[in-house]
Amino acid sequence: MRVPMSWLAELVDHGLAAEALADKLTAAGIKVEAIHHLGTPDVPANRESLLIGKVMEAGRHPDADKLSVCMVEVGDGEPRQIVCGAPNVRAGLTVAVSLPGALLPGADKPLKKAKLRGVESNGMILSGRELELSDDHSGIMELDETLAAGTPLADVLPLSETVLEFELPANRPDLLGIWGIAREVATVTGAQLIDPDTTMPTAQGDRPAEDLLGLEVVARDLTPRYMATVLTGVTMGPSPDWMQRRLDAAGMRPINNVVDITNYVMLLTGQPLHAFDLNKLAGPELVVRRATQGEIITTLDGVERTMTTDMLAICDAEKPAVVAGVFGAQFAEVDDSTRDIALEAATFVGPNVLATSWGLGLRTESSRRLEKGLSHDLPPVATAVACRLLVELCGASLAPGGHDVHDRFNEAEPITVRHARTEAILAMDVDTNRSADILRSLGCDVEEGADRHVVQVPYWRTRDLEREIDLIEEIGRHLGYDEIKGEIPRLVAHAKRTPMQTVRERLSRLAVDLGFSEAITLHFVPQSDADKLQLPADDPRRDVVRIANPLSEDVAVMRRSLLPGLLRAAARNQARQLPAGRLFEVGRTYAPLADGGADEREWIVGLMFGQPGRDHWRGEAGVVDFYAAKGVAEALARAGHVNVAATSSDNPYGHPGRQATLTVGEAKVGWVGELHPLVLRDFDVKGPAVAWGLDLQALVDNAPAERPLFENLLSVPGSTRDLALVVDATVPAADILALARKSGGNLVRDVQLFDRYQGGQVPAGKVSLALRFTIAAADRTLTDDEIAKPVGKVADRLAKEFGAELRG
Amino acid sequence: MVKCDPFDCRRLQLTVSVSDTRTVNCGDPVARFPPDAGRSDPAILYPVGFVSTTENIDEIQSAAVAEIAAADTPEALEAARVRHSGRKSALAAVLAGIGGLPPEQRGAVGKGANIARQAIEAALAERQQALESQALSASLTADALDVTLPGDPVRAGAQHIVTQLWNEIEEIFVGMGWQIADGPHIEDDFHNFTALNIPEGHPARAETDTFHIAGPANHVLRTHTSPVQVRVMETQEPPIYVVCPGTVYRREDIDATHGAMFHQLEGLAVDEGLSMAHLKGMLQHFVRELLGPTFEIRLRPDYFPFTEPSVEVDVLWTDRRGRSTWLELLGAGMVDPNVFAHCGIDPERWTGFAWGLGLERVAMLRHGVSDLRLLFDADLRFLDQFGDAGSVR
Repeated sequence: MRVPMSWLAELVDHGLAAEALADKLTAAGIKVEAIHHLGTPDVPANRESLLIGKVMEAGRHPDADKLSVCMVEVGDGEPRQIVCGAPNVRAGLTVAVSLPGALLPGADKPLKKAKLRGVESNGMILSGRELELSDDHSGIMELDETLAAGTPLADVLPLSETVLEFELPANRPDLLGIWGIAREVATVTGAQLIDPDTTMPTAQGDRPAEDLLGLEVVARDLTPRYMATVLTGVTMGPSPDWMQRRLDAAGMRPINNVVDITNYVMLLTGQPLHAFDLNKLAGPELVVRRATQGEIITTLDGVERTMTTDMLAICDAEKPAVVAGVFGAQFAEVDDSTRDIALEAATFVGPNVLATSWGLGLRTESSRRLEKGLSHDLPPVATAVACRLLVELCGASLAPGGHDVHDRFNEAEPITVRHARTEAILAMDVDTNRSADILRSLGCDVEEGADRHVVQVPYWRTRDLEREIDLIEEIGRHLGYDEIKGEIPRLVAHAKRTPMQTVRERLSRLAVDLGFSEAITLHFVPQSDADKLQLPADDPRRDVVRIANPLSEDVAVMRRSLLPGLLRAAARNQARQLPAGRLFEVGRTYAPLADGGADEREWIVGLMFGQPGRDHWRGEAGVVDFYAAKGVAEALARAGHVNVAATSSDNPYGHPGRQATLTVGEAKVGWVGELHPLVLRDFDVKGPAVAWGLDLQALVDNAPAERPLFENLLSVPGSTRDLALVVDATVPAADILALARKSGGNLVRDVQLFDRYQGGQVPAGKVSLALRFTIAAADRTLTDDEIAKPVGKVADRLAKEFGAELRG
Repeated sequence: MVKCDPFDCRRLQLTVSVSDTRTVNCGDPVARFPPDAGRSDPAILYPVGFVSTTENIDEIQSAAVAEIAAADTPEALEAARVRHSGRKSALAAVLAGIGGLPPEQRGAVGKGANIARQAIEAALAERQQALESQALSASLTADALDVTLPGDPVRAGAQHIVTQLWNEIEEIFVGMGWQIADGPHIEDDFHNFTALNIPEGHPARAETDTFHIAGPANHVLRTHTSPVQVRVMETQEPPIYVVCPGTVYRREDIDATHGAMFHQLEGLAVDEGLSMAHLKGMLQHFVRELLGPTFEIRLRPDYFPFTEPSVEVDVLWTDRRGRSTWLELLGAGMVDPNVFAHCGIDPERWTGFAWGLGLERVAMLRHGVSDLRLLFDADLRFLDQFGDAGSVR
C-alpha cells in the first residue's frame, strides 16, 4: 500500500515529516516499509532557482528556426536571457523557470548556464514533464497570470511528493484505504481526522436507477451486499492532473476520468468499485451468479479466462461482465464513447474471492481487498464519495434511487475490557482515560466504567476487534511496548533432551568428526527416484506421499530415502570439479499411512563418493569401499550404544555382493553397501560410491536400558593367544567369530579377526584367517593350561562346524 | 732388574714423560724385555723409584685425566680406558708393586693410588657421558624435519550452519529448563490451521501458500512448527515451557530469499501470570545469549492469527564493520485465547507467550550468506567453510 503524503495530509494534519511519521506508525504496528521521494528533489537550492517568471520578450534565435531567445523577469528586476525551444513561448506568458543551480527531477547535477547555437541561456523555461507534473512535453506550462514573478514554484505547484509504502497486517483491510491509515495517524499523533464528505450528491432526472438497470443477485450466499448506482451524461476525458498524480504516486496507472475515480475512491476508502458502460450491458441488467462450468470471459488485459462453477460472476443478461471482485471484462469497459455508467459497490465472501483469484492466477488491487472480507457498511460510503466526484469532475447526473441488495445485518455486540486484565496482559500501568482515548481515536464508542470499559467497535473494525484481548492489543500497541520492562519467568527446570534428540545430535556430531559434511536437501523429490534406485515395479517403497500442488514434478513426492538427495548432491559436486567427497544428512523419510498421514522416520545417511586421489605427501588416501563405509556405520552405531551385526542383503540399489543389513539382535537398524552401477549411472555419479544409513529410532529402541556395570579385569593380567586356520572362502567371517566367541567359554573375553589371507600357499577357494583371543578371569591369574584349553575348544568347534583346518 | 729403553717402555713413557733412559723397576719379576712371544701382554714396567712416591701417582693421574679429556671419539676413549684403568695400566702396576715397597710407604702409596683410580674412573664416566650426549645431539640434529609440512590428514567434515544454530538455540533453552519437542511434518488441517485460530478461508491460509498432500485426508506439509505447540498443549498440563525446532514448508518459488522448505524454531510458555513482560524479558535474554550481551531488541506490534497481542521482534544488528540496523528477527505474541480453547486450556487461569524464528535467516545473517539456495545445495565448497575451525581443507 502506497500513500502519498500530500493526500494523507488532506485527511489528517499531522505536521510531521515523513520519516518521523513513519517511525511513529511503525512503532504502533503500522509498518512503513519504505519512503519514496518523487518529483523535484526537495533541496534548498530549488527554492532559490525554481521560480515563477514572466516572459517580457520572445524573439527569434538568429541561427535556429525553432529556438526563441527570451528575456524573462524572475522577480529581481533583472530579466534573464533564456533560450527556449517550445512552440508556445511568447511574450506575456507566466511560466515556470529553472535558473542555474536548480536540481531537476532525474538530474544528478544542478543546471548550468549554457550556450545554444551560440546564444547564452541562463536557465530553462519548463514543461510539465520536466517537473514530472504531467506527461505533457508539447510546450512549456502556461501558468496563472496572477502569480507574481519570483515566487518559488514549490509554493504554487506540487513539485515533489513523498510516498509512504506500508506493509500491513493481514487482518486490517481497513488500512487498505488511505482513510484508514489517516485514522491511525490521528491516533498516533493526536491530530484531528478530517473525514471525507460521504453524503450522496443530489439526484437528477426522473428515471430511477431501477428503471435504467435491472439487477438480480442470484448467488446471495456469496454476496453479502450488492449496490449498483446509475449515472448518466458522463463527459469522458482524462482525470484532473492532481488525481492522476495521486494515482500515479499510489502505484496505479491513470486511464480515464471514470475509471480513475473508481480507483481513487478505492485507494481512499478501501472499497473496490467497478464502473460498467451501461449501454454495453445486454438488458441492460446485472446478474450476480456463479459462473457456468467453462464459461469464458475476456478480461481487460485481453486474456481469455475460463471460469468454474465455484467462481462468482457479475453478468449482463447474457454473459459475464466481471469476475466478481477480481477483474472486469473488455466488452463492458468504460471508454471514450461511454455516456452512462453503472457503478458497483459490493462485498463478497472473502475466501471465495481468494479462491477465484488463485484459480485464475489473478490477484488485483480489488481482489486483494475483497478477499479479506470487507465491512458491509463500506459500499454506501464509497458509493457516495465516488458519485460526488463523478458529478463534480465528469459532469455526470446521478439517477435517483439505486439497487442495494443485502440481508439484515447483525449489529456488533459491545465488548467489555477489564482494566485489571489489560494491565495483567500488557504488564503496564494503564491510565483508563488514556485507554479510552485510544479506543475512541480509532473510532470506537467507549463507555468508561470503574473496572472496565464497554466498547462499541466501528463498522470498519468489526472483523478484527471482536474480543477483549483484541482491544487490549489496540491499547497496548498505541501505548507502545517500549514501556514494558522485561522479566524472565521463574520456572522449575523439568525437561531434558529425549533419547532420540540426544542420539541424533551425537551421531550427527560423530559423522562430522569422521569427515562427513552435513547436507540438507529438499524433502520433496521426483517420483522417478524410485526408478533410478532400480526398485522393481512391485516394490512397496514405490508407494509415496504425493503433494497435491507441487511446485514442479521434480519436487512432487515426499522422499522415502535420503539416498537420492545425497546422490544428486554428489553429482553436483562432481560437476563442479570436486570428484570425491563425503556427505551425510539427518532427516526424515515419509511412508504413506492408511489414515492419510505418514510414517516419518528419522535417518542418518552418509555417502562417500569418488576415490580421492593422492593429495597428501605422506601417502595415499583411504580406499572408498564397502569396508570403509561399514567401519563408519559401526562407529556411529556404537555412538548410539549398540554393536551392529552385518548380514548380506539384497537391496536393488546396492551392489548385489557388497551390501549388508545392519542388525541389533533381530532388529534391523541400518544398511551399508556399495551402490549399484546402474544407480550411479542414473544419478550421474562417478564411482566408487558407498553409502551407510542408520534408522535413529531403531537405534534408540535397541539401545541397552542399563549402563554397563563395572567388572574388575584390572587386577589380573589377561593373556592373548592366536589361532590361524583355513576355511572355505564362502564361510562368513562373522559366523566364525560368533562361534569362536560363543564356544570359548566365559574366560574368553574377546576374539578379534586380525588377519585374512588368500592365495599363495592357501588353496584356491580357501581363506586363511587369524584369530586373536583375549583370555582372562577376573579373580585370578590363569595357568597355561587354562589359557590353552578354550582356544583348543574353539579350534575343535570350528573344525567341526566349518571344516576349519588349523595352520601351523 | 732389567734395563729398558724408552721405546720399549712406551706406555710408561706416556705416563711419566721420561725423556732419558732410566733404569726402571719392573713390576713383573718374570718380565722379559722385549716381551717374549709367549705372553700376549707387554710386561708392565715402571721406573725405578717411581712407585715409591705419591708425587708420581699424581703425575699418572693427571696424564690419564688429560688423555681422557682429549678423547673425542668413543674409540679414543676406549683406548684411554684400557691404558689408564685396565689391568696393564701404570696405576695397576703401582698397585701391584705396593707389596714390594717398604712397609712404611705402602699406606700412603696405596691410598694415593686409590684416589687416583677413582679420579680416573670419574673422568672416564664423565667423558663417556659427554661423548654420548654429543653423539645423541648430533644424531637428533640429523633427524630434524621440515615442521612446516602438513600433518597426517585427520579430516573432519562440517556441520551445516542451520544445524549449528539449531543446536545453539536448543542449548540456551535446555539450560533454562525448557523441553524440546517435535511433531509430524505431514500434519492434519486441525493442528496446522484450525487449532491455531486460522479457520477455513482465513487470510493467513492465503498468505502462506500451503503444500497439500494428495488424497482425501486434507493433510498438509506443516507451514510452521506451531502445530507441535498445539500437540504439546493437548497432551501436557501447564505449566509448559517448550521449544519446537524443525522443518517447515511453504509453497513459495525458490529464490535467493525464499525457500519451499526451511527451518523454524518456535517456543511456547504457558503458566499462571505470564505477561508481555515475560515475553520481552525472555526474548531479550535469548537474543543476548545467542548474539552477544550488547544486543538490543524492540517489540513492534504486528499480526499473527495465533497470538494476541502479536509483535515483531527487531534486533539492533551490528555487522562486522560496526554498522547497526534494526532487523526483523522473529515473530511473537501472547497466545490467543482461541488457541487455548482449542487445546482445552482455560485462558482465564493460564496465559502464555509464543515466538518463532526462521533459522535460515539468522544463519545467513550470522555468516554473511546472501543466497538461501546455497543452504540446500550441499556444495562441499560451501559446507566446509563452516567446520570447527573455519575452512577445514
